[in-house]
Amino acid sequence: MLRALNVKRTRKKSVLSKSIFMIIGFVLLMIQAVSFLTPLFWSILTSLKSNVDFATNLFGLPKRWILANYKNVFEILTVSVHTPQGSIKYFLTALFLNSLVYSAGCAILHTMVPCICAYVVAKYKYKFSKFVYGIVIVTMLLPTVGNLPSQITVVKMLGLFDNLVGIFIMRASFLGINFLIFYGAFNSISWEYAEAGFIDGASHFSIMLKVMLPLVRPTINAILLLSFIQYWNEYYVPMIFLPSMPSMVSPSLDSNCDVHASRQIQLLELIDGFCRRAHDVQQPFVRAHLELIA
Amino acid sequence: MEKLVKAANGLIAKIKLWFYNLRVKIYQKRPKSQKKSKGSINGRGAKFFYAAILFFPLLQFLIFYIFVNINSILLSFQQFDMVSGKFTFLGADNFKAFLNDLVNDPIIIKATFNSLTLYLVGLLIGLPLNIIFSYFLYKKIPLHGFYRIILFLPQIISSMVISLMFKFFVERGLPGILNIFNITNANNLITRADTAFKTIIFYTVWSSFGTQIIIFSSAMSRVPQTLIEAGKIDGLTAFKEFWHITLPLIFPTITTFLVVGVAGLFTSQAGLYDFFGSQAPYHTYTYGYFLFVKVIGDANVVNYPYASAAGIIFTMIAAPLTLIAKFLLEKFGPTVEY
Repeated sequence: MLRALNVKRTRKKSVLSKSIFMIIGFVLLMIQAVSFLTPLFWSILTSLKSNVDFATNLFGLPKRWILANYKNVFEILTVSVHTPQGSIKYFLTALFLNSLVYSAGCAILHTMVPCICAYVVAKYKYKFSKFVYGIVIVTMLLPTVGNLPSQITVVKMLGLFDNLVGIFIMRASFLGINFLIFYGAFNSISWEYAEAGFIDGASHFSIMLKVMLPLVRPTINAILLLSFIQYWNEYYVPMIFLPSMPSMVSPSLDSNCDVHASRQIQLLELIDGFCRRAHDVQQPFVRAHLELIA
Repeated sequence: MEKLVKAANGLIAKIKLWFYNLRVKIYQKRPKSQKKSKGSINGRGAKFFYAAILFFPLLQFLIFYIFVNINSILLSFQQFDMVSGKFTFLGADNFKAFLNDLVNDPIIIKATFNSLTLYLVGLLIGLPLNIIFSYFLYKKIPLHGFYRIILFLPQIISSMVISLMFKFFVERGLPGILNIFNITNANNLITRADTAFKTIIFYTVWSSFGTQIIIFSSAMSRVPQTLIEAGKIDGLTAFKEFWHITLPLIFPTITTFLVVGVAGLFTSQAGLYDFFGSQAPYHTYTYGYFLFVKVIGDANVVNYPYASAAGIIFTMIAAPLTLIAKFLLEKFGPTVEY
């Protein structure tokens, strides 16, 4: 009897503590969410107001909903690039395309180069493979601060400056966390699939392309998505290394431009595409993390 | 028209068959030894494939990692010659100049203070908040799906967009809201000398959620349920579960972040470039921002050697610190096997 009572009491205590815990968490996260969503919605609302409306009515709904700001952005917002042949004006659609090409190219390279290298290193167990793995670990642990000037001079030395292909080459590195993620993924795949392929007369190359890479397709997709986000966000590399190819961010860096509605467009594009997939990206990170501890 | 299509299809089929036959013939004519070695991992084909795949990535590594860093060291001993437009040998003057600035230049002294503050705030407030939020999401509190998206948004939306949104709101919207509560000194928080850096610290913590949350909460979801069930029988509360089970078990993940994060002390720009471009007020400078604006722009070629020297000095501090952090965390952190 007494024992049953005790169990009941502890259960009561644990339920109480659980609800307190839930409330604290809920409130903390609500503060974060509100502090994030308020500026967001306020900005979107503001972008739909006229200037006069904004000056007199800071927080309310627009008196008249207008899309003129967005139209203006497409028509007026330009970035001029000065070349020896004269200056070229880039409109928003061109800027958007520039950003897209840059981010997509970098994302594909930043996914596929580590992927293929990790495949070779994980599956062909030569001594050299251990060495390559070691390189990745050491370069991750060893911080290199402030080698940007050297990077610029080297890129200029090789004639790759202001050259999209050149920047892609600079970006096509196998180092970094992506290598470890793929290394873990390939390690967990049996080599028997490849052996079956070899019996049927497939070459090493086609085994990789048609058997092994499709097996890690979910990981590839997730990393591709994450890399794309990363390069879409990154502005300083194209800003420094591709001066004659301005990106979406350039107008915001150019203080003369009216940036107010441009960001809304960027916002809408991105929110729509990526929100829903945010939870899909968890899996590869777990593997990468496992690799790091091991 | 249909006949034409049919004829074309027939032709294509014939060509395909011809190519197939050709490939079969070539394969049959190959010497036997080559056929045998193809499948095994020790064969010549394997080594050739291995070398062909790794050749370009390693070349890229040699140029863009090894050579860039060696060049960085070379650069730090040089100076830019205005007349010839080339770098010429100078000696250790860049190092002397930077070490001198590190002690005497008020901007760099301020940057030291700011970088340390930023790092400590990230360590003592940002990281714990990330872990706690991850725990709440992992425990599936009400609306956790919604919160997950909100917390991940700063990573998805461009940092430039977030910083513009934040700046615009703090400058134009926030004073209006605070006026309602009779707080009138909230104008120009981002540009005023006494509040600028505090606002930026707030911004870095506020927009830091995302990647870490994903990693922490997936690490938490690997904690065995049996442990928690066993604890619950002994009256384990949610707080105790966090402190005694979850935290020790995900500590390796935290270690990873702490170790990789040490270099952030010297590289973090704290969104200063997003906010101010290259014209940030001096009292908000951090090391990362200082080195960045020293280098960007064509006119700043002169500063390359000085910035390289600074980078090397920072690396020489950051590298041992990272290794020490790794050693200490692995030695004194909780070690668990599960």
